[in-house]
Amino acid sequence: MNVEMAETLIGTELTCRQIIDFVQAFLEGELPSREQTIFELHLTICPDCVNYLQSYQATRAIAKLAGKDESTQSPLPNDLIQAILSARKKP
Amino acid sequence: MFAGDEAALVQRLRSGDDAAFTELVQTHGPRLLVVLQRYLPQDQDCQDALQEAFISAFNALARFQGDSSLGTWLHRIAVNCALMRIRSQKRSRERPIEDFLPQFLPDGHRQNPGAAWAITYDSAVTDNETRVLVRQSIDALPESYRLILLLRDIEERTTEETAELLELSVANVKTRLHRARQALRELLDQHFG
Repeated sequence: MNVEMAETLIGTELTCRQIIDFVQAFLEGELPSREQTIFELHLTICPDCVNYLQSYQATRAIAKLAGKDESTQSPLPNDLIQAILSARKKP
Repeated sequence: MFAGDEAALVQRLRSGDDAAFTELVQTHGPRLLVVLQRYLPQDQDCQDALQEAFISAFNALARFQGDSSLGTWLHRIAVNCALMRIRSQKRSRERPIEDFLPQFLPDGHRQNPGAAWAITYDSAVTDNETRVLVRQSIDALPESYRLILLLRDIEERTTEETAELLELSVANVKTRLHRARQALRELLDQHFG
């Protein structure tokens, strides 16, 4: 397929909106090969979708990082520790 | 905690050693509370869920096989307690996810494509302000989407496991996860784009 044909195909079959709908499937390798090719070709001519894809990937990475951050932990209040321990049924 | 220390602690817990229970709560409690705070917005709910998690763990000690670390085992129990608590609470009507998703022109182009993000992974690692901003943005997501994002992208549970925990179909989890990520991307775009 040459670029002109590809662009025609893209123009008629996948808009940026559709590309964005397929981002997750693309990243997880779940797109059928034809759609995968169309997706990749769209990226070669659409910098906005490239930016979107990159920021989507960054969102996942940063969310994971920030979400796992446990640096905010501090010792438990003593009354909470006591409440937990006193709720324990002794054998 | 080293494996040998942990095995000794488990032994002491099983024999009913009071000091071992105190040690367990003091060692793992603070981290578990942070985990619960991701799921439950109210401090009191977090504390109640923490108490429930430890009581469940105490009662299940005989079944702890040591296949994972105590910390991982307690973490999973705590998340289950948070999800049970959320399920038991009367849900307030959440904001539609469509309010957070990208907007498009009639020709299918994005309405406000914005610029490439200026943030780097390294700055997110080192900059506390960025991490706080990201956490606040996650908290701002509608609850049913936030839970999926937390389980899949932060807890790294599988799609199947997430579907089971939330009583949803696998297809539904995939669709909602994509929307949750899109919504979070839109929220962060206001700061990084």
